[in-house]
Amino acid sequence: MRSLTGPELAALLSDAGGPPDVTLDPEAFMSTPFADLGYDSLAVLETLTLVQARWGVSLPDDVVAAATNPADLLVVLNRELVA
Amino acid sequence: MTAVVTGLGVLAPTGAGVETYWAATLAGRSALAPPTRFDATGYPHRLAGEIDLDVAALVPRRLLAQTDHMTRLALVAAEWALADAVLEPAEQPEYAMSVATACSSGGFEFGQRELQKLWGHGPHQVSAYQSFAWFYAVNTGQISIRHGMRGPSGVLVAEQAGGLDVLGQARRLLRGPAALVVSGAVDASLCPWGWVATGTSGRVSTSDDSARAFLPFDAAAGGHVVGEGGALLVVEEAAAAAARGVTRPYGTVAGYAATFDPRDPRREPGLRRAVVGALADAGLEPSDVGVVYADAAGTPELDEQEAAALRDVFGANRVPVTAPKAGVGRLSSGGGPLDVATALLGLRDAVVPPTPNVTAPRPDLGLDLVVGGAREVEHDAALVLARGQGGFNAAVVVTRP
Repeated sequence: MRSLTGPELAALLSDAGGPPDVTLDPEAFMSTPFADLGYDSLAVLETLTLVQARWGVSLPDDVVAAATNPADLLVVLNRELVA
Repeated sequence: MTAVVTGLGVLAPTGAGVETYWAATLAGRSALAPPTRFDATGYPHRLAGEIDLDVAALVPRRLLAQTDHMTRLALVAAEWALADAVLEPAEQPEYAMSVATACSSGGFEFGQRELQKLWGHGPHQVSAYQSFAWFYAVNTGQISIRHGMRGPSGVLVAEQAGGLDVLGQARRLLRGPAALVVSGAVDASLCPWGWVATGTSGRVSTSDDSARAFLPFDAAAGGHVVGEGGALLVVEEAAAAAARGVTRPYGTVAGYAATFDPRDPRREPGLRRAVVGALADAGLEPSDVGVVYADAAGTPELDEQEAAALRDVFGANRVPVTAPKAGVGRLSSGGGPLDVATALLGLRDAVVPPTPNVTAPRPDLGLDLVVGGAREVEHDAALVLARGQGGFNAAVVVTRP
C-alpha cells in the first residue's frame, strides 16, 4: 500500500476541516498542534474517513485519537497504510 | 416584557435578502419551477420553490465539509439578520444570547449522500460530520457556535407550526436569562430523499403548470408546492434593544398561542382556538387586526377549515387575508417566520402583499383574499397562522413598534 506524504495530508485536512487558521511553511505546519491550526477532533476523524475513502481501506477510528499534530497523524496513518 | 424584532434575514425563492424579497412579494411574483439541483422528472410532483443563490460561496470554507445546504442557508440568514439589527455578537454578553430555531426534516441532502456511502461503500466512508450535519438541531448549533451565543438554545420540530412556535419560545427565553434570541427557521430538503418524504403527505400538487400548481382558497386548489428557505429574526427585549441604541424596531411579537387538533374528526380543529389565544395574549380584539397571513394549505378541505376559523373570529369578509406563500411554496418550518417577516414589512409600509397566482377565490369561503396586486392598508397589527402536518396549530400577532 502506498504511503501518505505530508503535502497530501495537508490537502486532506483542508478538505475535511477547511484551510488552516494560520499560514505556515510546510515543516512548521506539520509540527503545529491541531487546535492552533483550527482543526477539532471531528476534522481529524473526517480526515481519517477521507483517507479510507481514497485509499480504499478500513482503519480503526482510534488510530488517530492520540495524534496531536499533522506529523503525529502522518506517522500513525502510514503505520496502518503500509502494515 | 416586550419582545421586539430588530433584525431580519430572509432567504426565499422569490428573493434573497429582505428588500429583494419584499419588492418581489409586493409585485406578486412567483418562483415555482422544476427544481434544478436534482431531476424531479420521474416523480409524481415536479415543481419546487428553489432559492437562486450560490450559498456555498457565502459560508466560511471551514464549515463547508460539515454543513448541509439547509444549514448553509441558515448561517447566511443569521448573519444577515444580525447585520440588519446592527448587532455585533462579540460585544454582547455571551450567555445572554440564545438561539431558538425550528426544523422539519434536518439536513436531508447531506444525510442522503452519506447513507448512499454507507450502503455503497460501507461505514468507514461515511463522513464523521454525519453525526450532526443531518440533525434537526444543527442550524441552532452552528449559529450558536459561529456567533458565540451561549445562552439557553434549542430546536422545535412541529412542521409548519414550529416556525411560529419558536417565536413563542424566544419570548420565554427573553423573560428568563436572554437579552436577545436568534429565532425563526430556514428549512430546505429539495433532494430525492426529501422529495419522497414530503410527497407522502398526499397534499403536494401533481400539476406541471407553475401558475396553477398552488392555488390556496381558489376554486381550482389541488395541493401545494414544496419550497425551501425561510427567515431568521433577531428578537430582543425592548429595553435591552433601546439600551444599545435601537430606535426603530420592525415591530413587537405581541401575541402567540399554540393548539393541537383533536384526533376525532367530528370535533372542531384547533386553529380557531389558536387565533383566539394569540389575540388574547396580545390583548387585542379581532377588529384591531388589519390583515391575516393565512396558513393557506391549498387543499379544498384544509382551506375550508381555515376559512371557517377566520369567519368565526372575524366575521365573513371582514379582514383582508393574504398568502404570499403561493409564490414560494410551503417552506416547512421556514414558512411561518417568512410570513412574520413579511407581516412586519407590511406594517412598516402600510401595505398588504397579494396572493400570487390565485385568480378565482372561492366566494363561499367568505374571505377577503388580497389578489391581483398589493393593497394599501394602514394597520397596527397582523395575524400570522401556521398549521403543521400532524395536528399542530400556531398563531402569532405582530404589532407596529
